[in-house]
Parts: sequence; structure tokens; C-alpha cells
Amino acid sequence: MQLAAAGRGGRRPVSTQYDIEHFLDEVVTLPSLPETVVRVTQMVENPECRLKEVAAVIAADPALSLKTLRLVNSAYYGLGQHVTTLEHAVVLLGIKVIKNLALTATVFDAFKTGTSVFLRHSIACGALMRTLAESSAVALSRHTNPDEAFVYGLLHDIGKVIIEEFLPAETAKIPAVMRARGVTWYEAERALLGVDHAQVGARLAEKWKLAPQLVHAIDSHHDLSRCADESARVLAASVGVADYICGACGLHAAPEARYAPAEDIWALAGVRSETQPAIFQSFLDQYALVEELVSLAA
Amino acid sequence: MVGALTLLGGRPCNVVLVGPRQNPKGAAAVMPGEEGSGPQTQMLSAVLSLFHPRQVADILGMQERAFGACNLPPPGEVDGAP
Repeated sequence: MQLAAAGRGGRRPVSTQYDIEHFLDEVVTLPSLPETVVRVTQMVENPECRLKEVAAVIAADPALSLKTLRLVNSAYYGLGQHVTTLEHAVVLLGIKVIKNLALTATVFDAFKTGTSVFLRHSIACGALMRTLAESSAVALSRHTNPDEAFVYGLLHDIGKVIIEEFLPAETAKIPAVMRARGVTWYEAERALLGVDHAQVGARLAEKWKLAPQLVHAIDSHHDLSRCADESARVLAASVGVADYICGACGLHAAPEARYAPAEDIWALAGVRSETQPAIFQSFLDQYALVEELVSLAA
Repeated sequence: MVGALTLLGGRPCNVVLVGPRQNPKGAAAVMPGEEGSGPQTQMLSAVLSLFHPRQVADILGMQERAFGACNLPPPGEVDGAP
């Protein structure tokens, strides 16, 4: 149901307030995941799946194959040798990593409608989530592995791409609402539209049949109360921490974007003041590699 | 660069950034001393537990942007609206 925040006497409404179901039914069209990636995701879930079969499925999609191999050969993944076939890549990295790389390549395509600032923010968040998952000092390492964590960070704001594609005029108003009301991007979205990018991104992840934990993490990364599952709350809190730290490094999703995290995300993510220098060191040591991924994705 | 904030526990503090993260003296915290004594200056790394994690992220991020080698956006380049 579309509700207009209308005044009386025929005055134009200030904003249009959607509910999420109407928004998804009438306003936006969530893109589908390419069939190749769907098949690979299903295959990886099968414990009897063979490496060669996964490699063959991706190799049969020349465009995806090329993009996946470019990521495999990037310095970020540090193989130290040039890989020319998917089969070789699968042997070296394993089918779950290759699945995530194929998904990453697909997401990079979806991001092409976004800005370079947004792309850099998303990839940086992915890299920071990987850093957090590699650290035994924080909670994330007990809930996911570094490759999956990268995907959580990469996808957390994908809802913004969808909203901007279908509602560019409304998206352009968000910075002004932020300044006028002193609120964050997420709060300004809700004030203008009644829905937010976390909801939309979560629905996209659901449509793509991604892991339920990922769906919850995207949905809750600005509002932990949306998620009751303890593990998903840790993932969402970690995304929130990564989001904040990227912003602290000037790597916002948009020049005007600001993030006011809930106070409990740091405790839930297990990121203490004393452990942050090591996290920053590890993240920034690989930042040049992040820029390489940005150039691959652009 | 100097920034004023409030520590966990309510004490005021000025954080002074003068160099990169890799230099232990690159960041210092200036806090009121005990009653009757002047302000205390300590290396930030020695008193991190007095800060909220969000504050530490802000400080380390700003330090890297101002003095680091990663070509992050300099302070003020992308900041602006609250």
C-alpha cells in the first residue's frame, strides 16, 4: 500500500511512504542471479559435488569465466602464479572460494550502475570483514570464514544500488534530508521512502537464495533488533563495525553518507579499543590490493 | 591535528595527532591530571582502554588519512555534513 504524507487543501506530499511489499511489487524489480551462479551455488551445497563439475559449469559461461579468472589472478588473492583455467583455479582455491568469486564477479556487474565511491566502499568493507574474520581476537572468526566474510561486506549496501536505479530523484534528495535533520543516510531513506536499503538488500539476497545468515546480516546491519538469531547478530554487528571503520577512513558509501552505529555493535562484534590498531594495520597493509579490485570491478 | 572528546568515565581529553600510526609518538592523549597537578600527556597506544571503540576508530582513521601512505581521502575532503 502506498501512503502519501499529504497535507490538506491539495498541497503536494513531502514524501511517499512505501511499505516493503508494495515497494518490491510495484516500484523496483530485483535482478535475478545469473543461472550459472545459481547452479554453482546449488552444486557447492552438495557434499558429493566434484571439483571438475563446478569448473565445467563456470567455464561454459565465457563472460563469467573471464571475470572469475581475473579475480583469481588478482594480487588480492595472492596465488603467486598465473591461473588460466577454472579447473586449475578450483584445485588451488577450492569450490567454495570459487563460488564466492563467481558471486563477487556477478555483484561487480550489478555495481556498475553505482558510483566509484560506492564501489570502493563496498569492496573496502569486504576486505575489512575478511580482516575481522581472520582475527582470533574478535567474534566474527567464530561465525564465518574469511572468504564468506568478504561477501558479507561486499553485499551489505547493495540495496542502495537498487533504490537509486529505480528512484534516482528520491535518492538525490537524501543528502539534503540528512543535513536538514542531522540524521544518517539510512534514517533519511526511511523518512523519505518508508523503506531502507538494508531491507531491499536483504530481499535481493533472499531472491538470490544466498545463505540465511547473509540475508539477516544485510537486513540488520543498521538495526540489530531486526534479527533474533545470535550468530546472525554477530555477523550484522561486524558489518556495522566494518561500515563504521571504512567511514572513519574516509571510505564512505557516498560523499555525504554518515553512520551512527548502535552502541552495542562493538561489544557484540568483540572489537575492543585495544585490538583496533592491529585491525587497522592488517586492513591498511592490503589496501593497495583493495584498489586493484576496485579497478577490476569498474 | 587536535580533537576534543570525552573518555569512558566522563573525563575530558584532547587527542593530538602529529604523525603516522607506525610511530608510537604519532598520537597522544592529553588529560586532566590528578587534583592539584597539571594535565597529563600519554601515548595514545598506552591508554586505548580509556576510549570507546568508536572513538578509537575515528582517531586511527583520521591519523591514517592525515599522515598515512595509503592515499586515503585527506581529512575534510569527504567529510562535511554531520
